[in-house]
Amino acid sequence: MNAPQRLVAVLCRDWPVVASERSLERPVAVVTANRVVATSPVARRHGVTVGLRRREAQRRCPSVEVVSRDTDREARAFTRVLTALDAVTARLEVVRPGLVVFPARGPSRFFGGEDAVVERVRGVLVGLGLTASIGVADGAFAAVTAARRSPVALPVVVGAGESAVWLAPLPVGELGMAELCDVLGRLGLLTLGSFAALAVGDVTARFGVDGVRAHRLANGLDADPRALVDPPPDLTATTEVDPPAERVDQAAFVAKALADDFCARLAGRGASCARVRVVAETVGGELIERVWRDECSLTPLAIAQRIRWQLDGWLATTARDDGRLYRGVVTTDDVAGDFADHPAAICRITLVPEEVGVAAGAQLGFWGGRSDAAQRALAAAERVATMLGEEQVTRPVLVGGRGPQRHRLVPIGSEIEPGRAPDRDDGAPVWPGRLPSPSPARVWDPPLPAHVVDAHDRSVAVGGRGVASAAPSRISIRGGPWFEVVAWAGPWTSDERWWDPVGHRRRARFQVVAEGGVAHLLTIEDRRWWLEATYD
Amino acid sequence: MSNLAALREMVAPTSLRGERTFEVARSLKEVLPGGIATGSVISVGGTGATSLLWTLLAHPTSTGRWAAMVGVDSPGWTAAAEAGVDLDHVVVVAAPTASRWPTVIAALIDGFELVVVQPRLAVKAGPARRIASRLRERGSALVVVDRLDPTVAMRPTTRHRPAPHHPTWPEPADVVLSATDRTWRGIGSGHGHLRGSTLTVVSSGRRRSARPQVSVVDTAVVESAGPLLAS
Repeated sequence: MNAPQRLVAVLCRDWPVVASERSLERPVAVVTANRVVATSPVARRHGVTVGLRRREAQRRCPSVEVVSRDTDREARAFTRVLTALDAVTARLEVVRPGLVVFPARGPSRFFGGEDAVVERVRGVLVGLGLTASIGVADGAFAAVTAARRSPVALPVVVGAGESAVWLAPLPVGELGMAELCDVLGRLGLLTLGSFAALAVGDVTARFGVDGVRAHRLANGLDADPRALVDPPPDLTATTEVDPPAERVDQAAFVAKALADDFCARLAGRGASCARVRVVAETVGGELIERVWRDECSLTPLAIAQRIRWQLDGWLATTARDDGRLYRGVVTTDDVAGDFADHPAAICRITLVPEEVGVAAGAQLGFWGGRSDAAQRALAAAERVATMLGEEQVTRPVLVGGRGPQRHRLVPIGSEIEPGRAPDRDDGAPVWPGRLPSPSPARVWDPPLPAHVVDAHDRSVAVGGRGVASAAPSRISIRGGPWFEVVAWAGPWTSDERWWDPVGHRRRARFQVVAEGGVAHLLTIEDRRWWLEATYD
Repeated sequence: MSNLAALREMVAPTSLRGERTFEVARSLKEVLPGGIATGSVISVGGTGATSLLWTLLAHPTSTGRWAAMVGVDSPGWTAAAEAGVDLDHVVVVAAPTASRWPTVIAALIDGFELVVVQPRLAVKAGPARRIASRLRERGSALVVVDRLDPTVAMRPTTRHRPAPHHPTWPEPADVVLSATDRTWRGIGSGHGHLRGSTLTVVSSGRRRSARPQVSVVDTAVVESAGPLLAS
């Protein structure tokens, strides 16, 4: 068992917020698929945490600025950091926008010790006006964890060979595998140390391949043993882009096919790749190179996205807003005529595996995985995802809940996270008091403001005893025309999270059938009416 | 004459166009007797259009067809699942910008048997023709859904006189399905709750006979199992 490489991890905190060019001094929440994914420190102090619904975040902190997530923008903004860090080391490995690792050995010899390297990195980032968390440890998992747990101004350097000891008292949640951590918690294994103390054989028998990888991480090792031989050269995939791509989305289209080919070659050898070097060559002869690292999931879609990020970021270094790849002015005559105007058109993209291991646990199912139709559909969806961005292509997954919104949209590339199950195995509802079936065919998110008045044009209210002040007689949605109420039912009061001072909310729901046969689900909260859903 | 008949037999396709269809739920048999023909454009509108859409998608998705939904705003997926739509066969694409719209739809037609769109703006005739020919080539079907504006959508539509074609689709759709006459059960004045509804679906359009066909769809769901009220 070879020792893990000594790595420096540089983590730019709250990167989605920083990349959105919002001030960290103001409450900001970055949202994707209606869930908060990142917050500014000020927003966190107001109780806005990752995982909240957008509306809930706005309720906890009304002044919060909600920004929708744009991973392309994050990657573009991160290029600036990478370019600056290139001055410290030549072997940057980008994990994701906002997180980069590099081997400590070379730079620490050059600069005279790891502390000097850390100082250097900090100096570079301060020069960019950024504060970063820096961690140094054996193995990527320990280094990234060290960076994440370090106070902003204080890098954490874990001594050589001490990763396992340093990780031992930390909670198992650091592994980031929700399903596994849930089980471990229920087994009473709350720290990484207690999980690491289990015998490998037992872990294999109970948790399979993924469990063993997590176990290795908890032991301060790499998820997969490091390969000692260089990857065979025939795994390198390269494609000529003809005619040369002048736009990033053209290049991204080619990149997807290339990534498919690359992964198919790896799969053909039963190999997996944790680090891939993406080399793009321009007509003008410029090379754009970057190493991307992902321990578990370098899928074709993920690789294509990284190629896109890389080209996009490189393009952003010279600001162009029309997406065309041309930089500088051509003066030489040796460039082919048609593309003389665009010396930066991409003419070749190459994918080089940096480290190849044995693929484990990625076998197809007994029936050969997916059907033909499913593969075609997913391929088309992935192609659209490379065009529009990964968050734009999702699939609906039902989760539990009492209100009308009982689904989440999960990006197609990601695994479904274990959410709240809609029903128990025996089919009994686990959500007493939930909205009865049939469910509304359209759910407005965010809800639309509404007005509900009784026969005397007074706004209908609901008292503390859960009784309506009068029968609703007319409704108006978003200041629109008034409609007579034909039938109504309610109020159904709901007093959610009464134990939580921040998350507590009281509201009452009504079903209202308006003239013309459209039924609405209306909610009153703090004496304000909202249209939550429509039974269209 | 016999020569002509022989020639006709020779040039006739081995599988007739009508044979390649996606079956639909039994309740829609009157308005779509042969199911959804591949290569066709179906427009869905009226009061209750979303419920009609879920009913339309239920049978194809639960028999392994794949559906992509582009820019349909605020769908209630719980209702879709209750109507029988298999959510594992549905992919949702956020509304692309108008300039990318045709490219995205074309890419989706390559992989999905059913593409459901709700265009924000009227689609131009050129892209619409290209999409239609791609549909025929790939054997997919396009469903164009009305935008639902809750502030005005409550106006009752006139029965049997649906709009001649979809306002956002430039050409007359092959089949126009229009939902009308929504009636609800189980709800009174201040008591009960919505238990189910019926809606009348009228079909017309280029591919239909002159007389519109009508079928009545019941959107009832099983009686709610748990206690209704609890705080």
